[in-house]
Amino acid sequence: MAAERGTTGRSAVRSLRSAPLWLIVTAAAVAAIAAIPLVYLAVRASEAGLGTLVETLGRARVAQLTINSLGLALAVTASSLLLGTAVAWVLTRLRVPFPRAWLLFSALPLAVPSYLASYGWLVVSPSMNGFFAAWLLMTAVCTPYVTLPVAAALRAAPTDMEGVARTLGYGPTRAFFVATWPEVRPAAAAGALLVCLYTLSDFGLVSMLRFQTLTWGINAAYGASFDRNQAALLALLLVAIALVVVAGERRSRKHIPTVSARRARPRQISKLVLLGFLPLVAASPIVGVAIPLGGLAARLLQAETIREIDLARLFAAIGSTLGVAALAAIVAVILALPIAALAARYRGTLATMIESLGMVGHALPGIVVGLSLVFFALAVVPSLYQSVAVLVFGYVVLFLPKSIGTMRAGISTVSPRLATVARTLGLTPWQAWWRVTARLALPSVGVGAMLVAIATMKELPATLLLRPTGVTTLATELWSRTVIFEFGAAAPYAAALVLLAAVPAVALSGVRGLARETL
Amino acid sequence: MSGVSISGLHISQGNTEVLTGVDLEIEPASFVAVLGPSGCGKTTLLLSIAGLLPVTAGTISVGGRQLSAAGTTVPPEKRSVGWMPQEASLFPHLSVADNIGFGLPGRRKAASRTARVAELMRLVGLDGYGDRAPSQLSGGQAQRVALARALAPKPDVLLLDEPFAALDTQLRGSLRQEVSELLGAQRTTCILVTHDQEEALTLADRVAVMRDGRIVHSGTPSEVYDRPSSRWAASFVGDAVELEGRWHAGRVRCALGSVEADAVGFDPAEGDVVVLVLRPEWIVLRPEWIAHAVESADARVTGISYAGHDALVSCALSDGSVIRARIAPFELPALGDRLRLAVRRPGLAYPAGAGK
Repeated sequence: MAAERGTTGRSAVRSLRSAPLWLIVTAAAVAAIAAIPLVYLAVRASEAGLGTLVETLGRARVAQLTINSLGLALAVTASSLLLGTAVAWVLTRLRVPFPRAWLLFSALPLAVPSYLASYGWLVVSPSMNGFFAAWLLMTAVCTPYVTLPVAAALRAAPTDMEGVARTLGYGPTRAFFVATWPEVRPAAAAGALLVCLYTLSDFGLVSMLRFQTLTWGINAAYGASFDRNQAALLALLLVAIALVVVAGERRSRKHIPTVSARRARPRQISKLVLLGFLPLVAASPIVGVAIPLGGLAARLLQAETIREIDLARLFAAIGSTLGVAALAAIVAVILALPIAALAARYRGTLATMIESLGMVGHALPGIVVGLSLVFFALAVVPSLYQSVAVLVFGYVVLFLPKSIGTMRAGISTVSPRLATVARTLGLTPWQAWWRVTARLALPSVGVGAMLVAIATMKELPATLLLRPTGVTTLATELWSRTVIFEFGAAAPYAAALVLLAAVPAVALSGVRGLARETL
Repeated sequence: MSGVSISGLHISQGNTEVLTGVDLEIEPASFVAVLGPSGCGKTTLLLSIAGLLPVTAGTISVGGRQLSAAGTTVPPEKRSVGWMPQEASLFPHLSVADNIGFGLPGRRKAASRTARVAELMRLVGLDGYGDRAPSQLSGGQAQRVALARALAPKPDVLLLDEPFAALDTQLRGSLRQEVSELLGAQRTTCILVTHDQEEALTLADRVAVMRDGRIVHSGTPSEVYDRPSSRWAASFVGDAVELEGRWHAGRVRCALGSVEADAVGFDPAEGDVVVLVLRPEWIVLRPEWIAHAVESADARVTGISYAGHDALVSCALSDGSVIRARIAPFELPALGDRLRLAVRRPGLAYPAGAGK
């Protein structure tokens, strides 16, 4: 979840009027830059004209893609909501041995990109495809988005209320729904809407499993370069749906209560019953992580695979992956700084607008950002078309929210009183900021940069559209080999991706961090 | 109106025994306070009476009906035991009226129900607050609503878990008084759990002192205060002054002189070392308290702590031990004054050593 406002004391937040002008201007400029893909997409689509828009949207093909996208998103949301809530309940309300290890285990799917899960499954069962396969894997991958916030909410929800309802004549199930569920519902809703958003945005998993959704359609229309208008219109349609979901998610997040009383005491149950519950908890990590990684490992260790590894290609891909990730991280952190500083210290409509614009990447599917920047580069800066600059810019737009979120949280935990004290000791505002606030907020800057780097390494659709000719990353290599069923040749890239992106994600954040920062 | 009978109650959580053999008999319509330091298991006891925790061994019966035993627990909703938790724990999504009516049968707008809710709101002095949200209430008001909510279905037994702990001192005193009168009129059997000695002594008909998962003393407030069953109970229930001395024919010879005493729970032999326990208010400064004859002075004033309604005077005795006397705050001695001390009533003697 994004950094909570609650961490800031009321006195620490001032009206925007007291903010220095240069800070507002810089932050607004960054926000405007971040909005380029969305705005340009709208411009590009409007150039196609209303007639084309209506005609395109009316096509049976488009309707089918939309129905597929929405159908999958709804099905995955429903199943993740059910499974995630049940898992969270088991992990918080029953006495489970090693509860923290189980929570980490259930969060693991967040560390693995969805297309890696589908790759691993295809290795095991190459004939897998269609709606059911996409639904199963997407549910496994997305369930932690519900499990983690609901588990946190269940732990924070005062159990006293459930007990009160019991003493007033309510049975255990009714007491849970009447007393505890209202406390948990906002967290569950926020998690479910995130699941919906990620399913709508997903490109790699659905494409590998040949289930044709809007993201697949955008890529296909773009590839068939005679019909780029259609690609733009499909992208606009997808963004419109995504924005509705994000608006719902924001609204539900506002209602998350922060009550905290006595902690829930996990109930002791018999070992046999517990054994009955554990498959439920293990389902998502086994389907989303264990089986795919098992398939990957089996394939990687085959003699044939090892013999055929093209080391030069592999290292080239690792090198360019790390290179663009580092660039994206540095640029994102620098650009996020003014917005984070503004959002951490000042309130007001303008501050909220600037921050929301900076966070717009959260709502934009990678394929949409990729497509829009292709159009933008071709029309406005043709010399930069297919350059690393545009690729990095795409990453920055997509992952700016991650660095803004962590850095804002970091800055708002530094009491402004400390800077005031520094002022009374003879420092200028700049010196005070640099020697006190910046020093104390530094760890969050590092974490923000790492998060952007990890997300960049895992990014697939925008990379496919924006990468310069000849530049390959681990994600694109894995992708291009998997779609032509060369699972063995894809294995080394998949393994490198796990080592470079998934492992650091877990190591960096721990359990709770993984949940907070990924959401 | 039912009595509660608890016998041989054991409760383990994980590998730790939280309750280790609790026996407690509670008369119908009486008000019992379970008094103990935090972590002694008193809240666990309460939760088990409510049926929210299963028992490992022993039984809990209310009105002759067995509700809990090893392996069988009548669920909370079928026990007719009301519970008022530490934090008011009002349902934040329901109005005050809906919170109070939560446990009543019938539909939300049923006439019988609204009548009972109105009656309870009047009872706790919150007439006209029915439409408020819990977040609009002060701490004291929230506790009243929680009380009304627990009383609404007319439970046989009402459990109160440190209900006043979160309130400020002044409000605590007045609400305590109000609740005690209100509950007295309801004639409901009440069990209050608290670590506040004053609260237990002023509110309850009987006080059960709890330590490390068992009841170490139970009796009327004055029995528990004036004749505690152990040195530990004596110092937990109130201020205690301890002096070591020797037992001689019903008196203890110590630095204070020879003080008449009752041996509690044991039978000392002549010359045995015992511990004399006194309450500070049992010690008086004798009328001739300014001892001009310096040679025969008992004690020297080393500190005075003035509290308005009374004062605690610390005195060093001839052997160096320091005792405190609580006196009315008139004509206070000055630091360094030499005094003579006397004891108003027989003290209490406990075995020496063996910890507390």
